[in-house]
Amino acid sequence: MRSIRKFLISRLLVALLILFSASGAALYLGARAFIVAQFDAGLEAKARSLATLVEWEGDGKIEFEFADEIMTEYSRAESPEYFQLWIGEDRVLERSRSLAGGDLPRLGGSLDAPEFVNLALPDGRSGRAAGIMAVARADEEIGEHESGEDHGQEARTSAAAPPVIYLTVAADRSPLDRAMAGLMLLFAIFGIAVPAGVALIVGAVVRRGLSPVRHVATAADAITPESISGRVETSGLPDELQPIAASLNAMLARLEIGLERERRFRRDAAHELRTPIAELRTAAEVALRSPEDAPLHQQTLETSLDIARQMERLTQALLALARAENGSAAAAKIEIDLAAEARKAWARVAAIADERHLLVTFDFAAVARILSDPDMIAAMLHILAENAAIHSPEGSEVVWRIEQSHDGLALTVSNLAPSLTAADLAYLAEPFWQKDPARTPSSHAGLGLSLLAAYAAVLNVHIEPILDNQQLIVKLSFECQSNDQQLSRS
Amino acid sequence: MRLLIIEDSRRLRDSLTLGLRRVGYAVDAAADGEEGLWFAESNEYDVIVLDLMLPKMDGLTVLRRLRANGRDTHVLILTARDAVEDRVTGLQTGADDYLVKPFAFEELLARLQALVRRAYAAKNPVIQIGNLTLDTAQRLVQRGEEEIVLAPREYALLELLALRAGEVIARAEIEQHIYDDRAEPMSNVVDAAIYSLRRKIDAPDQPSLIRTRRGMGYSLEAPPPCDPSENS
Repeated sequence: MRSIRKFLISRLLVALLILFSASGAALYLGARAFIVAQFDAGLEAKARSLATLVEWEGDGKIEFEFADEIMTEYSRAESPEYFQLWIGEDRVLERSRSLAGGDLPRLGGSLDAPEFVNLALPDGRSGRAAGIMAVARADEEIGEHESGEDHGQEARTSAAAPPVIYLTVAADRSPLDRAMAGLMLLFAIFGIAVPAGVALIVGAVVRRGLSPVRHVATAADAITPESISGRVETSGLPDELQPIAASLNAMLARLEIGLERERRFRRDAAHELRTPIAELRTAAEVALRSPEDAPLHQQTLETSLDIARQMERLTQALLALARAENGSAAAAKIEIDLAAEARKAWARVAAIADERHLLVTFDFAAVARILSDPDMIAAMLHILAENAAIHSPEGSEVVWRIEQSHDGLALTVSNLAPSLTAADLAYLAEPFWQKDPARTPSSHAGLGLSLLAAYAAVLNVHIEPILDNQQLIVKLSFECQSNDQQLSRS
Repeated sequence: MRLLIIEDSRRLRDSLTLGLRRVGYAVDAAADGEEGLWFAESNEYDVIVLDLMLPKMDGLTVLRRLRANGRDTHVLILTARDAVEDRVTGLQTGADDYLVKPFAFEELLARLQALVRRAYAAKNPVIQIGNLTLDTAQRLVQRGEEEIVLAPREYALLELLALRAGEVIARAEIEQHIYDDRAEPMSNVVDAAIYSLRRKIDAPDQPSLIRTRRGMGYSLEAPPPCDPSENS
């Protein structure tokens, strides 16, 4: 399983470590070069200063005005420095006393660009030498010569021009080496401390940055079917997580509605199934306790038969609903006179309607033929008729209407429903839903409109309940594909 | 004993009322919550059998109002709701027992008898008064080894007196517990019932177990032990 945290930490660490490593290497190399350059600059300066002591006096005489008592570093016993001077490539003009007869290598660097080499000093120490090649400086006072003073070494040359001199200066490089070692140690320490620090900081920052994700996950985990009304708190979440939390909460709201619908169904179904069984059982058990009471037995048998019929209707409705919902209800396609079927459906409930003094009005278009399944259409119309007959207030009117529209036929059944609210419309097609929360036992379990909706889905009929000024209007829309109003299945 | 049944299913209400009356209970019945609450607050019942899904006022609301008004009548909830949360809610609201439909009538009887005993703080279903034994679980009455057959109303009267043995129970209270709202007011049904009961449970030549306290009522008591010194 991929982890955002691990991904971020690994990528950030690698990137930062590469960055720090490159920067550190560059810094180290730069510092190293600087230290070496500083040391070399010192050597160069020494070489230059020694070179300035070489004078060519024009008559072939070359003087090297070097004084040991002034430049004592070339003669001291402790950590001396060294120099060696050549005239031309072969003739050694002067060596420092510290060389004690030894030689330094003749290097070929120029005055502007000395040559630097690492070498072993005569006393075995590690050293570094700078070598320059220059033209001997001409004495401005040619011919003048001070006698009696020691001006270093003199030499004669037959050259008519100032000769080329080579000068190599060498010194102990241990200070340089110490500086380099210190630099390396410093960078080594930083090389360990910085990645470790970066790893800790990156890990902490990523963890902290992702903690809202964990918070959302924890909050979502805490929501169970028993606490489905809970929601993920969105205030305080980062902007990037707000849409996720909002979507999660919307999903939970839908789940809550679905779960509540399931609970209602289970509760109502339990009531509709258990109550008649309880009635049957209690009646039978009470009758059996009085074996000699024949009238009670007769009454109990009649009650049992009523209950059995009620259970039969309920069972048939449930099975029909199951078949319609799982698609196993096969629909035939036969021409049906919708108006005639509507009148038949009302005739079947006429007894109830008469008992309740209901008025009925049929407002049908001249042509109302459809191609559909006659049994399902008859069942749907019977449900509409029965619903209107049972639930309309006594003495009110039930209106059946068939209208033609541009895309087909619409059948509506409207009746007064003063107890219904707009919010109830969403539940009308729910199995077992009843407006009366007490579910006082009657012959109707509340499956009618759910069965109506299931049949409508099978037959591709659009069903729409409308509440208008206390009038419940149930509208069935039949789409037609030809001008003669013949319905064809899509 | 007097029961109130609050149940909106007419068939079930009628069957229960008939069955419980034939067992000897005085039974009042209501078809909705408002009527049931009125009955419960107007009369003294030993047990109320209460459905939850009632028109006009649901069962839990009836129960809450009863308890809020200080009524501690034992209540047995009889309902199709069997979910744990429904049982818990019912019991936490103040019900004493919970029975799910469908149910065995015998079980309902046994639970009602248990609640009646509880109402009178009687743990033992068998009550002994002298040599009279009353088994409230079996609804069996014996004097010594001899079984005494009582009519349901007679048994109910004896059970009331036995559960409160030694107490004087006023005539009006007896009438309230033994007779439902079908009884005619100002009648002498209690006296007639006492007379009928005495004839069946009293031993010949023995003082009656049922004592009459003039102006106060009746009590069921074991006869005092024989004291020979009284004859001296």
